[in-house]
Amino acid sequence: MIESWTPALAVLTPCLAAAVVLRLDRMPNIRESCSLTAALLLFFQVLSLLPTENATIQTPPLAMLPGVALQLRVDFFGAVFATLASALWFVTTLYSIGYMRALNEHAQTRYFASFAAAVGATIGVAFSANLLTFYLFYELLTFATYPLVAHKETEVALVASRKYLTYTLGAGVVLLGGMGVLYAETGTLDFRPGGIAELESVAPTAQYFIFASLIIGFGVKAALLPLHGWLPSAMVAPTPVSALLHAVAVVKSGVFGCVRAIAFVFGADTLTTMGASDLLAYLAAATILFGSTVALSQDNLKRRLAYSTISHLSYIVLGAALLTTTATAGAVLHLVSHAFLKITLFFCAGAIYVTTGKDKISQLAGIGRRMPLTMGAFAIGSLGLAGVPPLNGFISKWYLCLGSIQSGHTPLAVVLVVSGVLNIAYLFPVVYTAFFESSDEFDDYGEARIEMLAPLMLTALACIVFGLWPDAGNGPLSFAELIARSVQ
Amino acid sequence: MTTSLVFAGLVLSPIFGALLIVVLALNNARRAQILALLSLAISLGAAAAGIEACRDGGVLSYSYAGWTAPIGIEARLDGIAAALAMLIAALATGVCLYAGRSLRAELPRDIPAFYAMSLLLVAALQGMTTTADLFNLYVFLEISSLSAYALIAIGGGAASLASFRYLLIGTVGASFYLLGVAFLFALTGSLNAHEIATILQRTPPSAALNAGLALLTVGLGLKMAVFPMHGWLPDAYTYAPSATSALIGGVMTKVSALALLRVLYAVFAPGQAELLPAVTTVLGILGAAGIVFGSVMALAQRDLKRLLAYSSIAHLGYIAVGISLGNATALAGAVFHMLAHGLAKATLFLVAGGVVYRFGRRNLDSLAGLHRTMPLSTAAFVVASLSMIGIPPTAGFFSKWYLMIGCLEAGRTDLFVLVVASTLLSAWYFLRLFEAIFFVEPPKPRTRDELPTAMLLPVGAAAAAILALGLGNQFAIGELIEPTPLLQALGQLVAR
Repeated sequence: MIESWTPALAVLTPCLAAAVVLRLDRMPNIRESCSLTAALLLFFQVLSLLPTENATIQTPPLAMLPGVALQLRVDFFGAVFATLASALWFVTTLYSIGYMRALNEHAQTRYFASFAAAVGATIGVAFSANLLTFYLFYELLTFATYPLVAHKETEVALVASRKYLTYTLGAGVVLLGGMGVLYAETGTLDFRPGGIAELESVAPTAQYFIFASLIIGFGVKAALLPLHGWLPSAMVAPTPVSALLHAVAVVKSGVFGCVRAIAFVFGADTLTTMGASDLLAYLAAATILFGSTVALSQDNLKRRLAYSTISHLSYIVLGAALLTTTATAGAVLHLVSHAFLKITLFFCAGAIYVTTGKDKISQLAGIGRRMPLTMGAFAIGSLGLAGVPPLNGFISKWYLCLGSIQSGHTPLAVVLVVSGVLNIAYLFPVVYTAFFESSDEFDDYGEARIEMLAPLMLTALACIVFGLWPDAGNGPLSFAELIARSVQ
Repeated sequence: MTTSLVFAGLVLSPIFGALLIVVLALNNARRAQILALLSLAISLGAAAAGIEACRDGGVLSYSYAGWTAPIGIEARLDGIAAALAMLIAALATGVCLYAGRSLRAELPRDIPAFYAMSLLLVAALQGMTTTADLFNLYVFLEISSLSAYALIAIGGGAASLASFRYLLIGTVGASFYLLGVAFLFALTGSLNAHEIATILQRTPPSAALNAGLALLTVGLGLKMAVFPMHGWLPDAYTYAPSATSALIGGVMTKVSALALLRVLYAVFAPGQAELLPAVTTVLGILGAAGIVFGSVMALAQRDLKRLLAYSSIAHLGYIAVGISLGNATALAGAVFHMLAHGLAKATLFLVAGGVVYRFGRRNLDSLAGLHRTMPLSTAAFVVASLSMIGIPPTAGFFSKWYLMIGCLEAGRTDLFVLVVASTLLSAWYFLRLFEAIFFVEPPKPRTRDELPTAMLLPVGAAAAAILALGLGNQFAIGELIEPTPLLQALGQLVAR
C-alpha cells in the first residue's frame, strides 16, 4: 500500500471543473474547453494511479466513525471502472458539444457542470475503500444527475426526475439501513477482497437483512427487476446523458456496488452458506429475459436501448452472483464491453435525432443510406451486444457462459444464449429498417456533424479492437482475471 | 478563576450587554448592534475556553458567590453543555450580524429592543445549559420564554397572536416543570441535580416521585415542542422576524431537550422511579409520531418558513427518539443532532430571511430562480438541506447514523426502520424546494443580486460549519460528547 492524496485529486478534478464551468456561463467556448481539458487530465490522472500486483495507492484515512474512515483506494476493480468512466467522459464531452449546440439547448452551463460533477462522483464511487465513502459518492451521484434528468424542465421531464430521485434516494435509504446493521454487527464497513470475515458468524436474519438491503440499495441504480422503473423514464434526458450516465456511469455504479457487496463485503464462503447468491443469480436471469423481451416492443429507439441496458446490467450481476473465477472475470469484462457497445448505440440514436429529429424506429426507413457511418457503427454495437465474434461482447459473454456451466447452473447459460438471440431480434430490425427499407424522406440529410460522428466511430472502433485483442492497452482481460482471482 | 470567567462570559456578558443597550442605545440601532456583538464575542471566547476545558471528560463547576450546594447555586459545564453553549453563542453572533440589514427591512421600529431581547434570550439559554440547579433552571426557562415572546411579538400583526399563544403554552410548560421541581424538593430537600440524584438512590419509589418525573417531562416536552405539544411552534416560527426565527429555531428547543435529557438520565436513573421506563417509551412513540407528522405536514406547506417550522417538529422527533432510547450511542446521536439540526435550521431560516429581504414574500413561488439571484446563499441552502436529509459528509448524516446504531443497540428495530425510512420523507420536501428553486422559471428574468455581506457572511459561515462539524464529528463526539460523565455512566459508545 502506498499512501498518497493523488486519488483524492482525481476525484477533485471533475468537481473543480464543475465549479469552473458554472463561472463561465457567458463564454461557452472556454467553458467547453474547460470540460475537455478536465476530462483529458482526469484520464491521465487515473492512468497514473493504476495499481500493480504489489502496490496499491490509497489516501490516508480520515476518521469519521469508530473503525470507519473516509478513504479512497485504487484497487484493480476500481481502477477498471474509473479508467472506463474517465475515457468515456472525454468522448462524451466532445459528443455533448456537438449535440447541445446543434439542438441549441438551454441551460448548457448547468448541463456541463452537472455532468462533470456526476463524473467526479463516479470516480469517487470507483475508488471508495469502504461503504461509507461509497455511500457518500453514491448519493452525490444521485444529486448530480438529477438536474440532467430534469434538464428539459417540461412536465414530463420533471415527473421523470421526481421518479428518478424517489427511486435512487429510496435506494440510498435502504442501503443506509443495511450499512447500519452491518456496522452494528461487525464494527466495520470496509471492502475486503473475499469479504468481511466477521460477517460469517453473524446471525442469519441479520445476514439476510444486510444482503437484501445492499442488493436493493445498489440494485435500483443497476435497474434490477423490479427496481428498474426509473431507467426508461429517465430517457427523457438529453442523449449524451443517457449515453454516459444511464448506460455507463450511474447504472454501472449500481452494478459496481453489487459486485462490491458480493465479492468484497460478503465473499463467496458466506454467500454459499447463506444460499442467497443463487437467488440473486436467478433474479438477474429473470431481469435479462424481461429487459430483452420488453425491448422488442419499444418503438422509441432510446427506450428500446434502455430496456436493453436493463437486461445487460443483469449479465454483470449474474456473473458476480455465480461466485466462480471465470464468471466474475466475465462480469468485470462485460462491465467494460457493454459500456463501449451501449454508448455507441446511444451516440447513434442521438446523431439521428439531431440530424433528422426522429426518435422512433419506424421512422428510420432508409436512413442508413444517408448516414452510413452512423448506422454502420450502430450495426457493430448491435452485433457486439448480441455476442457475435470478433467483437468485445463475445469475449465477455463467453466467460459468463463458461462460468455458469462451471458453477453447475446450465439453465443460466441457456438464458444468456436466448438473450443473445433476443438481442438480435430487437436491434437488427433497426439496422434492417435503416439500410434495406427505402424512403425518400431523408434525401436532404447527411451524416451528423464531426463532433458527434468522431466519438461514435471511436467507440465502435474500440469495440472491435477489444474484441480482437482483449488485452489491448494492458487491458481489460488481464485486469478482469486479476480481480476475479483476488476475491476468491 | 478561569472557571468563573467561563460562566461569567457565557451568562453574565449577554445580560450586561442587554442592560447596556437599554441604557445607552435604545434609540440607536447601530450602537445596539455593536454592543450586542461585543458581548457575544466575549460569550464566544468563553464557549471556546469551555470546550477546551471540557475535552476528554473535563467538567467545570462553579458555585455562585461562593455558596456551595445545597444552599448555593451550582453552575456546571460538561462536554455536552460546552458544545451546546458554543452553538448558542455562535448562532447568536451570526444572527446579530445578520439582523442589521434584515430587521431594517422587516421592522418599522424597536430594532434596539430586538438586540437587547436577543441577548437576554441568549443569557437565559446559556443559563439553562450550564446550571446544575433545577430551580435556577426554572428561572432561566421563564426568562427565555419572556424574551422569546418579545422577540416574536416584535414582528407585529399575526406575530402578536402567535407570540401570545407561545406565552400561554410556555407558561403552562414552565408551571408543570416548577411543580415537578417542587415534588422533588419535597422528597429530597435539595434543588441541586447531582445531590437529588444521590439522594434519590436511597429514596424508595413512591407516587410522588412518579408525579414529579411526569410533571418535569411534560413541562420540558412542551418547551421542546415534542409532538403533540408542538402547537405553538409553527405560527411562532412563521410570523416572527426572520432573525428571530433563525435564533429560536436554531437553539431554543434544543436547550429544553438537553434539560429533559439531563432530568431523565442524570437526575433520575433506571430503577429509581417506576414510571421512568413508561416515560421513555412514551417519549419514543411521540418522537416517532412527530417525525412522521412533521415531515408530512412539511410536505403540504406552501409557505417557506412554515415548511421549515414543521420540519423542526420532525427533527425534534429524532432528538426525542434518541433521548428515549437511553443508551450512550443514541444519546450521543441526540446531542449531535441538536448541534447539526441547530446549524442547518438556522442556515435555512437565514436564507429564508434573505428571500423575504429581497422579494418581500416567503411562499415557495418566490424561490424561482433563486440560484441566479443569490448563488452563494443558494449553495448554503443546499448544503443545509442535504444535512437535514442526512447526506454525508454533512453533520446531519452522522447524527442520524448514531441514532440508527443507538436504535439497533437498544434492540428497537421498529425505530431503526423509522429513522432510516424517514430520510425519504425529508428528501421529498426538500426536493420540492429544490424544484421550486432550480426548475421553475421566475415570472421576470432575474439578475444576480446576492445578499449584502453582513447577511451573507453568517449564512456562509453556518453552511461551512455544517460541513466542518460533519467532517470533524470525531472531535465533537469522540472528545467532547462521549467522554462526559453523563454518557460514560450509561456505558460505552457503539457496543462492539
